[in-house]
Amino acid sequence: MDDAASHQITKLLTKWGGGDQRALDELMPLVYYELRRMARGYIRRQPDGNSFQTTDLIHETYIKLVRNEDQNWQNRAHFFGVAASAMRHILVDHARARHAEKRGGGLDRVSLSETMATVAIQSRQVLDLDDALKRLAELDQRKGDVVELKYFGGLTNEEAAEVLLVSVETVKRDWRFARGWLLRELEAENK
Amino acid sequence: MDKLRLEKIERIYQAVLDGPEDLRERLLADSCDGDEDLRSEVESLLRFENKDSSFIDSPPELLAADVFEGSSSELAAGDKISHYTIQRLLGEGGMGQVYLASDERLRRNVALKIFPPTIADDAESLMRFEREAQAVSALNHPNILTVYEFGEHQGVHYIATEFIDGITLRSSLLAAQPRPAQALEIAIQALSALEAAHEAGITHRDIKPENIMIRRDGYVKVLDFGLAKLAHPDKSTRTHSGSEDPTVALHQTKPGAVMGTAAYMSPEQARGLKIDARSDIWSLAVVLYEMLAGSRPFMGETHADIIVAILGSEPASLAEPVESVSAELEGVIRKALEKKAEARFQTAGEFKAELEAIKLGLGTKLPSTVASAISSAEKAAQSTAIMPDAPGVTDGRAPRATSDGREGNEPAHLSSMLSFRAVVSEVRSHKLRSAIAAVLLIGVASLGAYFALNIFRSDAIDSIAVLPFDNSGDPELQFISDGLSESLIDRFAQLPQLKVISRNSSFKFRGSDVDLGSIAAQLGVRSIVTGKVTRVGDELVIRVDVIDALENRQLAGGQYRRKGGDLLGLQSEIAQNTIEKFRVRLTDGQSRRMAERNTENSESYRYYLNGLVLLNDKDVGRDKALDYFQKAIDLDPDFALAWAEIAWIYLAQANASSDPDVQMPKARAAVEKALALDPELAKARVVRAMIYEYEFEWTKAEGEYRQAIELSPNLDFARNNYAFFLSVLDRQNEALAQLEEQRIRDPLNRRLLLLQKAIVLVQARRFDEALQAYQEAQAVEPSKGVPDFALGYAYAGKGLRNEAITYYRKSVADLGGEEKYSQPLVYLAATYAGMPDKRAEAKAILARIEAMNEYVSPALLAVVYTALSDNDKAMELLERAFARRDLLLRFIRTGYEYDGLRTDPRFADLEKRIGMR
Repeated sequence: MDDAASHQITKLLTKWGGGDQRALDELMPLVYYELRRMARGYIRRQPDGNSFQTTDLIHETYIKLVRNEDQNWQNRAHFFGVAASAMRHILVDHARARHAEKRGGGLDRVSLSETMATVAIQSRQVLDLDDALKRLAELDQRKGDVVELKYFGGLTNEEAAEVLLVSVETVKRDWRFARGWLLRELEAENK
Repeated sequence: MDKLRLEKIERIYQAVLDGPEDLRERLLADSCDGDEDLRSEVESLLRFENKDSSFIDSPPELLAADVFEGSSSELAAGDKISHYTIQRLLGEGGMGQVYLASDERLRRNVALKIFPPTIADDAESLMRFEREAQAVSALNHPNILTVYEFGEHQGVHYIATEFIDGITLRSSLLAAQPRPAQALEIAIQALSALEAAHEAGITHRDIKPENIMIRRDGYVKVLDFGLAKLAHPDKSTRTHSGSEDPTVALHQTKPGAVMGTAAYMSPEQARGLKIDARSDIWSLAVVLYEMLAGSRPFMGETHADIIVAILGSEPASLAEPVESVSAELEGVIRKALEKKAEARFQTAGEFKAELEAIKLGLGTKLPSTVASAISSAEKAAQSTAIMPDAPGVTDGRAPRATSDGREGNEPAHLSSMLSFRAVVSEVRSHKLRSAIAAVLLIGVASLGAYFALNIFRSDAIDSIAVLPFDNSGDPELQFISDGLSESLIDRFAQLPQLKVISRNSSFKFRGSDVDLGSIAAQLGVRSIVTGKVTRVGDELVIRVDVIDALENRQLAGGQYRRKGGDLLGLQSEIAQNTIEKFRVRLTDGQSRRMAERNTENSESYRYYLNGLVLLNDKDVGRDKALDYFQKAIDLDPDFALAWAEIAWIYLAQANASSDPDVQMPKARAAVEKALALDPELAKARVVRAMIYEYEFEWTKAEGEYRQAIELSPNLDFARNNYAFFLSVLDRQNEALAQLEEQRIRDPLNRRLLLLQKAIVLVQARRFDEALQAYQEAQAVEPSKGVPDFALGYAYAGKGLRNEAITYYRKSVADLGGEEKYSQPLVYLAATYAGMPDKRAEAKAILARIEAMNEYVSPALLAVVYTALSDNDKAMELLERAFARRDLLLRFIRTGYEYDGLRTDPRFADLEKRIGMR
């Protein structure tokens, strides 16, 4: 990424931190793009696709982004927030396409490797989870955020707490409840 | 479930889990206090607490790996997709990545768009898009991106398109706001694309600055027709836009986000209604508004706000903040932005026509830098003159101007080079160094549009351009690379079945990285021949490729290897191999000529090639070229082509000399030699025609011209000189027809052709049209301008003496002032002579000229005496001119300056003797 883009993202993060909601609208596509870009290099360094770590990717992207800018912990938190949300969209988009492929008989055509089968299952799960998560967020926005950060962004409890400006304990409890709630919803759906 | 209920459930849930494990059952019972529903809710949640879920407890990393690992990952330089080699990433848009790649088969650059797997998986939509994109591309419209190929390679779906060397309008807008005239031009070109697509029944659906590209030469290209449809195949069944533009996808699930494209949506599009061509008209009007105002007409903080603005609010006035936007233009934009489609322009063509009319008006109103540089005194003259004069233009070439003088060794006044010849010599002396710059000039290129439309539709190749061969950066090879390509042009020019672009136009693409498809479009040809000369040890490797631009495929490609610089037979071999692929039927004579080897002496051939290249190099010039041709015939006295070139050079020297009789016999001898060796040599026929003209043998001259054109219909200077010949015989329409024929073969040489046309129009006394042509010539290449003398002569003919005087004076000043004899000085005197209060000045100039101790053309001096109504003196001078075969005498039939003599029987008698009547 060039310095200009890096600078722009940092500026937008600061603006968003300062309460400018519009900054998020500009941030999202930028972060989305950067994540995708970073991911390619990231994947190349992993000979085995299984070792993909969402959290690593987001951290790497962040380090790359702010290399010339002030290391502001608030910006970092904001970035993680946006990045997790972007990851969610990336994965859901992909899963949706995968799923469409399955309905179209795409999976039947090829002999399924174990990985591919897992990917197919994960796609379905991610789609269902995304739907359930939307319902949860309507009832309790913060819990929705916690799940987004931890599940899609791969953040630790501490990082999630930083992003949401709550205690680590709160994150843990939110997760505990949200997890149960979501699993129940998914189970009900699959019956 | 509502929030309160959830809160309650959670409170109990958390309390139970916070308590000691063995007390959970009790805690639960106590907390629910008999509410069975509540209890079962909490219980149902608690069941999962101790259950492992590999799914939710770790991020979906396999899926993530799959996302990023898939074919959407970035390709590296050198990666191969089918027969394309990736060079670099150009950009990444909604519909995947776009790379600059080289097409190894056709050896050209392409833009390769790789579809993300999500799109590629939707075979049906992809096919629909493919059909539509091909249909639009098949329109072959210069403002529409050309699609070369849809393909699939190892599961990767791609589309190869024309590579545009330029930037998107979005990037352009970010860098600088366009001037109003530019903004209009961009809109007009884009509308031209839309017009063609709409007529073919195709709506773009996503017109925005990101989809409009501005090529470096000023061409506007509209991209991605139908792509929007691919992104939203069917909104009603697809609730999520998953497979499309990441930004769009994000924003559609992210309420409150500004969706880029929303700003350009028409009201009907924003409402999700059925849309048609008129929606594109709206979107383009938004783009135009943005270009002019620097901001969009419909803005809002959120997507929804923008939609509301589109549906309900009127855009802010343009005319107020932007000074140069007239009420008229504002009105046109408003009409295009009518909420109801029925109230808008109904076709892109209507919208375009309005903008064109406004742009025309804008052009004259805009203060041009050129105009402002002119002194205020001249500004007064300017106000009535339609031609702004470019400072620094000291071309001096003009109708009957003593043009070449300043550049050569001969003093200006001695030269009697005729204007047409001067122009023609400019045709021959291609300015190589400015060639590339010329291609980059905006404006030069926008005329290519003319020729690009479906002019060829047959199996056989009927039109070609030979581009200058590449010399691999080795200057020593230039005579081979240039010489070969030029002599190939000459060879192909002999085939009447083919339209062959003349050297002038095709050599403008020297070193250009414009892709071959658009070169073909600009030149209006179906096929392009390219070549490259490389040295490998003592071996020369010449690679030649022939491309069918219409079918996007290679017709032929081959390598020719020559050891020790022996180039013999190379040209004929290339010509034969190439022509074979054109599927044109050749007569026996033509086949023979294609196979002809010209000379059997290798060294002689090298001298010839060197001479050809030098002939085009203005700096070194003809004399040096003559040396080379001379050496060529010393080695091979039967080398007809070299003799023809020698004849041409002698003729040119004779034309530029005060005493043609010195060089003319040499020219005659050389041309007779050439024609004795090869009677079918068109170049030699032209030279012979011009010698006949000099001898006032008009019928013979015409016979030679006609033969030359028959032998080589594509030979530019045959037609140019024939046009000039026809013009002085007052056959103006035939002259114009010849120029028109030439225009088709030399599309990028528009300025010269316009100048020639203007000269003919002046002879035809169609002064307004002539001035119009001069104005166009000025506009085509403002840096070169139009010769002042030519303008003066046209104005004087029109009766606008003051304007004429202004231009004559400039020309006089350029040629050394009033103390020096020059053609414009004579015409200045003649103009004064026609004004009662200036006759004294006329006489003073005349006296000065006559006192000069040098040769003065009697035909010219006669012009002043005619204006002074001294017919006796005028006739005496003309008789003297006749005795000397003065080259300027041929203008007496058409020139308005001799009108005063027309009733004189002596004049009629002279005309008869000259053979003009």
